[in-house]
Amino acid sequence: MNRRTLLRGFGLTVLTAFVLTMPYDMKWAGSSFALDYGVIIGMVVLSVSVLGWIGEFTLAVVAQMGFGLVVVNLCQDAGLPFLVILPVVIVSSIPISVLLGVFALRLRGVYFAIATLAFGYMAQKTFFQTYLGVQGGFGGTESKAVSRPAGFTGSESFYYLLMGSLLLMALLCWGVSRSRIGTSLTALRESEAAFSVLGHSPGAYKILTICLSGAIATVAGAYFGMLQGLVPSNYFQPALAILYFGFAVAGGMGSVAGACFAGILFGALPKYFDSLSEGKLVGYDQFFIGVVALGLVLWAPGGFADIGRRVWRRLEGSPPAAPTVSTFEIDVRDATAAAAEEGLATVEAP
Amino acid sequence: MTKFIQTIIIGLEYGCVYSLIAMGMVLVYRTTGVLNIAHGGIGVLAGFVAWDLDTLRGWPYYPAILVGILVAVVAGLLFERFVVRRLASPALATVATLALFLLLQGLVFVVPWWGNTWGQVFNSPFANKKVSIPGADYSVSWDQLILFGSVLAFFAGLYFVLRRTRVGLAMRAVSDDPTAARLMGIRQKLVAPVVWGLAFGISGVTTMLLAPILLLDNTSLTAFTLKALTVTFVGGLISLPLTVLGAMALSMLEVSTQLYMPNVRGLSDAWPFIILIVVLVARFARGTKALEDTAVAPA
Amino acid sequence: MSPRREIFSDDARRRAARLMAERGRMPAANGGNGHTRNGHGRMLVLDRDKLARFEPARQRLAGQLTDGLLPARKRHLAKRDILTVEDLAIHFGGVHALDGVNLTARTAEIAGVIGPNGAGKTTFFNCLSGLLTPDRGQITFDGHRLNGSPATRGRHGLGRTFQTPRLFGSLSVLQNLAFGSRTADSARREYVFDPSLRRLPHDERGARIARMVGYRGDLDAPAGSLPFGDLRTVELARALCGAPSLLMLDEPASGLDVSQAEDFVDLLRSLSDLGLSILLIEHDMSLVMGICDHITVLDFGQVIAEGTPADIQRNELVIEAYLGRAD
Repeated sequence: MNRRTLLRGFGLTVLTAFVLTMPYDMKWAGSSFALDYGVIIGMVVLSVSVLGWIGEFTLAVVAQMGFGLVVVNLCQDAGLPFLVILPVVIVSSIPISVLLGVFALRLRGVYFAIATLAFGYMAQKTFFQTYLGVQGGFGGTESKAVSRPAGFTGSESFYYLLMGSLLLMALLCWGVSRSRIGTSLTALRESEAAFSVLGHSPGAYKILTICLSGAIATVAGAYFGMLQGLVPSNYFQPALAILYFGFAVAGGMGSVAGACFAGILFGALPKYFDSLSEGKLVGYDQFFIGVVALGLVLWAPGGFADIGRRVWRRLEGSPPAAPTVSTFEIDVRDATAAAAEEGLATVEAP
Repeated sequence: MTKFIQTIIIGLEYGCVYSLIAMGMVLVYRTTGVLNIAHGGIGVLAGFVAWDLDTLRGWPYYPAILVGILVAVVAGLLFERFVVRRLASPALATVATLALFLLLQGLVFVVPWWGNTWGQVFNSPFANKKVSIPGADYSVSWDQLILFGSVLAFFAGLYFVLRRTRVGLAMRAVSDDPTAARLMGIRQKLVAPVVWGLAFGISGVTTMLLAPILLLDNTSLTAFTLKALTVTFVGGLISLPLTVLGAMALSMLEVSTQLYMPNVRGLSDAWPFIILIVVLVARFARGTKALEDTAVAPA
Repeated sequence: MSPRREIFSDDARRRAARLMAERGRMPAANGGNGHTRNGHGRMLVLDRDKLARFEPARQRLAGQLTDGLLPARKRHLAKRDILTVEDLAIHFGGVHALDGVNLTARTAEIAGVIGPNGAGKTTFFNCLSGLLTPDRGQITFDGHRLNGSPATRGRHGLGRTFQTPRLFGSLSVLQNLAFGSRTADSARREYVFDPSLRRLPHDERGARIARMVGYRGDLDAPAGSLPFGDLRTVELARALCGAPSLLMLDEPASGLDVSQAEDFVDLLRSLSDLGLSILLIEHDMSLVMGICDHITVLDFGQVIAEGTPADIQRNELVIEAYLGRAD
């Protein structure tokens, strides 16, 4: 048994223990509601981060969450049991993901993000306000109720359902990233032109990733409705999606563990701030998150995932990894820059 | 008739707000490749500093706003020196501006003596002076006139600087290819702080112009930033005239639907996104060709 | 001498004999340091030391031939048109990058595309690959109209390398090569230059093709860590793994030193002799004139001349395009 295996075993044990007992460990800071909220945000951030695999970022997650809520409401009205609702929610996310995927085929970088933002906004103004009524919401005055499944109604028990789901999602994503699909996605991200010229279709992989991301976000939305019990129709602010994107970058774009960690941390933190300060420190959470994010950008652009890797290597005693250019840099410049790099724009030479 | 004049005036007013924020973003983008999401936020900070000095500590108006603007400029220089310069790519710097945006939104609450509220009233010395429009039951305040004039001056100035002066040329060169620009003798260490200091200073000035007309507050900040972002995309993040045009069009559409069609709920809010979709469809239809067009477009 | 003789195949031996005959030496019949006579009856001394100097080259040649990296026999294939481009045009803003370009490429031939900077050569390749959509024009490849996505064209056998090598940096060399091999398998393509490759698993296939193009480095190294010359070689290998019938090379020799370029020329000639059609953009004139069977000259997006190297070298318009005109 060498140091590495021991360390990994130890780390895994500690992590598992912590995850299993978290609601009780964190009781001093506030109710488990905050933790539940954090786990759901973890799912949302995971769905944003996954798109880093194709080098894009999406701002439609909030709208996708909303769709999840609507589907859950419809299913519960129809009396479907929970185990049936979940697959239905996942399947219902596919048409929307495919629609977004079509945008992704033609638009890049910021333009694609803006398209997703516009989509989210349109969905809010048309679909949600029609379905929920302008003043209404879930659990609100024009109430469309969404309830938790039996056996998981308490905050603590709901936590285990949420955490279990998050772990399953994380495992699935991690598996995909290690598979041949993951290798193809890496290649696609590094040079889409070379990838396509070699006879592989970038579109198929992009749509696949977007569908994965969409499914996660939609399920997160379903859980969100169950958690809150009350969701007003104007909750689905597209601006919130920008915040979640920030969280994803903080976690390390494309990193599964980083996304989960960042989501849980930044999701639960404001709620804990609130309960610890008894509502007196308004806005402190935004300030704190801003400071943390700035620090990360300066010293650990790979996000928490990067920090985690470096710390772990130090503990394991492995030599520090050779610095590699981050392949997750989403080109925020308009697609011109990306095209120029791909040799498509002929600003210079033949 | 009054309604029509009202529409025009208010439309112009908001159009000016959007254009100022959007032009600031385009300035930074064209010269550094960074999308400055915190542009509006810096202005709010400057505004609160000025308000603090003017209303809470009794300073005279003009020194107070000058200090506010100075704070913004210094913030820009510091941000460039300690954040942007250290970062490897414009994409990272854009994320840094997002972080700064969050930080600034929270900052207004964190400073205890700023009232921990959403907004403050901050009047200029021209608070109640107006100019009536002949033939209509409406008047334009001096603040509004100053706003309109400033936007025109700013637009003309920026256009001139970027296109006609050596400084502007240097800025554009650094944005296109920093290494080549350095080899040509352009000192990026001088150009970059100028750009950021200027951009943040402009944001400060924007808030000083706006605060007398609208409240000095934080909440509308996000909405304005988003709308300004929309407007910048109309101009492709490159063209100043198109940006201003887009800003005016957006605000006119918003205000007219608010005043003339108040029963159609949500339409005035939807305009930014309708415009976005139009711009996107135009690019979508042109597909990859659009990429080349902007690549060879005149700066 | 005998242990070394074993590694020679018949073909290699015959070829070596011919080489030596050309240089005025006859192979020793009994292996000794003997005296022998050349065709003119002159006495030649078989100098062992001088012979030893040929050894490395002979080994390399023998190694290539006997390992089966390239089939020893030249296949005499009937040449046919494989690519026909008619009236290809594309513009960006006000610039006509290509304006009515016609070109034909044939199997087992190396066609060159040359022209001064900005002539539209890479744009031309990008249109052929499908990365750009032309305004007008018709491309016929292997009998079919070519108008699919770049991936479809790749699967139909259009291979390509880029002006700046575009390898997948975080993946290993073998993983890069596997992308080509996977396409060849899924599109059920034959390797024009060596049909036996199809039967090999991806890793072995990649290793063989890498050795064939002259890559001597670590196959598991991440592609991003390779020196520049190796980047080009591996990109070529990756394109070849895709079993192309037409290979488009964009300035493949730029950045190579003299001996690398020589090896490269040998490789291209061998591949072409085995039936692969090659379309080449190059700036190195001696390379182009030396290797190409047919040359097309572009300037400002138009074809100003085409023909054999000899024709091109004499062509007034070409000289003017490159050197300008004394007015």
